[in-house]
Amino acid sequence: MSSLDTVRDGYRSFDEREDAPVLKGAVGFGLLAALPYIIEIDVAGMELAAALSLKVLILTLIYAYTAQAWNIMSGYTGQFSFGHAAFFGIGAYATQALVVDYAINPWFGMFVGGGVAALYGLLIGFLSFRFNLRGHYFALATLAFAELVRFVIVNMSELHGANGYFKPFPRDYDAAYGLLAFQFESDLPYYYLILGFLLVVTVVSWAVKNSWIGLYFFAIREDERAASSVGVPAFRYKLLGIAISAFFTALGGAYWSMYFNTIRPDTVFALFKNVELLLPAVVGGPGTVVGPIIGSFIVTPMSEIARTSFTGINGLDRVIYGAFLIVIVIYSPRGVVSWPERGRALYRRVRGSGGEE
Amino acid sequence: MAADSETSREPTEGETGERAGDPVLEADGVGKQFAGLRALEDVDMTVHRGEIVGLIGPNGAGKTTLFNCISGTFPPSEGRIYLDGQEITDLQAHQIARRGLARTFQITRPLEELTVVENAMVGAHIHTRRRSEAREIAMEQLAFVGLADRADEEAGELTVGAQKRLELARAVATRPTVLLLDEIMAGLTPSESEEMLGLFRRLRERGTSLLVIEHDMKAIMKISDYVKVLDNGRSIAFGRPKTVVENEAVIEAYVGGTGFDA
Repeated sequence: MSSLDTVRDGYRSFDEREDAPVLKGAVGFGLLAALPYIIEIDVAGMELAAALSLKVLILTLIYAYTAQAWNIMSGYTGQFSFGHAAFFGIGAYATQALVVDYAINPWFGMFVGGGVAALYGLLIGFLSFRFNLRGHYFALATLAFAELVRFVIVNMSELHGANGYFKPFPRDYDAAYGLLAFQFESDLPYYYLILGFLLVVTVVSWAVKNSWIGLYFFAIREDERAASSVGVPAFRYKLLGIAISAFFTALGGAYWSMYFNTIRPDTVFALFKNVELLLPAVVGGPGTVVGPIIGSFIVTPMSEIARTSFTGINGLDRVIYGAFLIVIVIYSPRGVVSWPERGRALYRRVRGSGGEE
Repeated sequence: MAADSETSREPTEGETGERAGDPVLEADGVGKQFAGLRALEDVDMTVHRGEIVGLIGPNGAGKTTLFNCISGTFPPSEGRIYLDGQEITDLQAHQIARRGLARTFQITRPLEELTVVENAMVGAHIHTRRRSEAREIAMEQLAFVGLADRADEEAGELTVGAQKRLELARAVATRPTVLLLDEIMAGLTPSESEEMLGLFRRLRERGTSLLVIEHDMKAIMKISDYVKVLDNGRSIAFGRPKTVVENEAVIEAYVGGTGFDA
């Protein structure tokens, strides 16, 4: 037995432990927690931070978070939403509108946004699923609903129209910099805050996946008619999926609005935002719990590096997004997380055809 | 009660003798109209507890349409359907499944990217929200159809024969009172068919009533307590298998069409 086999057997017996997912999660999130310090280590005289700044890491976790939220609906139930910017923007706008215009604490505004987004999600779902919209048609409908919110807000002076909101100082709503104010004076606390967000949505995603709800979601994704024939109330569970997903996506929008200085209809509701929010899940592996996180670590830094290094070529980051999306969807619809398994299958096939002793 | 009028009307076609048990599934004057096409017209039928009833007829006779009406894929345009004495006519598929009626599909519908046991668990979750309990029920049903050793394989990778058995396991995991089987033996090898007939009998022993669409006449005549014949959306005969094959209208429908062993 080679040492590689020993390692593999060791891993396998670890994998069968009941608490394996918890331990793996702890290791993964421990690694993420250490990441701001890891990037400052000198590697051969070059700091990793030169390529991977704390800002990029925050952005990476934001999109890992939103992709995780998107995944609970679209990855699990198979109802592909192309309009999650609606929920993201609603979260951002609810938070800012309440804190700027009424000096209401952003944490409160965030949950208001989550509630409103969930209701909007239920409305979209109710209308679409009642009329059995699926696949591309459903995706287009969600896009239309997202654009609708953007148009409405652009034309509403009560919500500052196209100008959007400028994030207030904590003292404007009787708070001091810190967790309670949802504002910090440096990026590091922001990093740990979004890491906390990511942890919560990941635990929720994992819990959903490992309950009957998850199995019903997957059954609906695979074949709605077959699922219904054994008692799965598909309509209700699709609504549940979109509500959970919209709620968490809105919280991500709230975070976004408290991290960046301004929000405008054409940033948080941007057409392209719909893609950014979901792409990590598609690249990483839709329907898996780690896929969105891994996907974001591939997609987000890459597009950031492209955007900052080729400033002369406008929109190159989007070209990279587009290229990635096409390649993944065509060649690896199960995402990057399926690669080890595919590699093993390939290895078995190559070794099998090479003639065994 | 509707049940009484139904049972008294039912045995009029063909000689039936005494039917055991109370009626569990009743269709009363069921009709289905698709934009100008009459797929079903005034079909009555009952399945009694513990019976295996065969549903036969030439292609396009409306057998699958009747299944779809009963199982809630779409409601019938006319008539009523009762399950265990309760009306289910306008209920949706998942509601009907929860009342105790399960079905399989003519073209198998495995949940491809789920494992074999997960497929059966979807059915088992009708009774419990706990994964571990659902898994237990699912494993029992997989053992019943002989798929227990393939529990962790992806359903999409099974052969047609295995997929048919998986469909049966998934449906049976809901512990149905009535099970509708739509050509579950089509495409099976002779030995697989024989095993399937064995499963039918064991299901009946458990008290499950079966309504079976099948094209294999030999099999259906062997297994069925009663046979219902549809032609052109209408019911043309009902009775014991032996009497039905001698029924002139039935011979006409088949010989005039494609013959028995089509």
